[in-house]
Amino acid sequence: MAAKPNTVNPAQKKKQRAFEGVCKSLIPFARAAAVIASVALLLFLTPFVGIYNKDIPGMEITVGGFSAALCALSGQFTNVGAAFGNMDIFNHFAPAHCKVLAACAAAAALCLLAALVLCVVLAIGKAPGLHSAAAVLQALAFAALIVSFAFALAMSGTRLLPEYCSGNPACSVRSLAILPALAACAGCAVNFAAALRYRKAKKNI
Amino acid sequence: MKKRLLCLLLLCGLLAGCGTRDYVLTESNFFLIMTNMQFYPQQYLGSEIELDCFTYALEDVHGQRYICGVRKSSAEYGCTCGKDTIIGFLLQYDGQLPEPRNQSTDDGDKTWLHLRGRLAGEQKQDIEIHAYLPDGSQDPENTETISFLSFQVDDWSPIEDASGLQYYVTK
Repeated sequence: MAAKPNTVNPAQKKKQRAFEGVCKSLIPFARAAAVIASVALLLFLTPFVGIYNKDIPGMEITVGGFSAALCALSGQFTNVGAAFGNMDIFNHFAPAHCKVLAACAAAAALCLLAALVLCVVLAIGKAPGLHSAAAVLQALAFAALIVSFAFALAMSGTRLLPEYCSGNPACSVRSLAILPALAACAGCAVNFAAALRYRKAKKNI
Repeated sequence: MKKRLLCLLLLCGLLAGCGTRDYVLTESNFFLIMTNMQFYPQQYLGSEIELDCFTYALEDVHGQRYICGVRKSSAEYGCTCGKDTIIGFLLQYDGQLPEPRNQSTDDGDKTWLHLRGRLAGEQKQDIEIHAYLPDGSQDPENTETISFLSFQVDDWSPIEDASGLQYYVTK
């Protein structure tokens, strides 16, 4: 018996083309998410915790996001090296807060890095289904950074200000970890929107 | 063979990092390392430490006299909070150290020494002294407690020209 010729359903073909069109339209989403993830990582250069003295310019002592992450990854909270920022000082007065802040900074950095890699893969048109994974990673980074931010500000209630600053009312504890947190949130939203579009398009084929 | 060589190299690297480290306090790192030492003296036990400082005499409320090797800094480890203090060590030496000079003046014209030695222990010694009134005189009514680490001096030499040294150290 002769084999039937291979005929493709025209309607199926149309759906497939529409799906491919949607996948292509997600590339700008991926590019935007990659840029946002890069910005979030760059914002790790800002102080995740610092003592601000309104009588002098800048901050008295600080620990940047990358320094905090390094402390967590290396387990070194008492090192005076420049790469570790002033973590040794904060750790002396609020060790528990420093451990949590640093652990969250490290977790956020790793999540954002992984999200960035995924977004770059997505931006070159590969594996469009990974938008949801990138969204999850950025959501995790956002949550970790919020915890970091909260624990930084909570150091106000430790002996840090009464002892390090002699109770000087001009001194306060500040944190800019909220900035990369907001960037991670924005990146998550972009990836989430893309993931929804992809899911809807996949349902229709 | 390559794997064994790599393991051997790693082991050498690890062993090299296991020994105690020596510290030389310079003008660029004096405050950072000194502060770190005050917070975490256990990290510096067994290490040889070199530093330049001036001698300063402290007398406690019982009349006991101590010679310290210090520099001036802002209070509470560097916060710019309008209060100054001295940062350094209680000196232990089997011999005579030069007497402090111009102790009541707020300038660098002091008895400067280059010291080499090590921390005598990780516990700080509390010294209760009479507080000072704003005019610089002692307040017989009030006392304050200063805590110092002890430094065992192995070797010292006088510094004749201290013009390159910071009397007041900051971050």
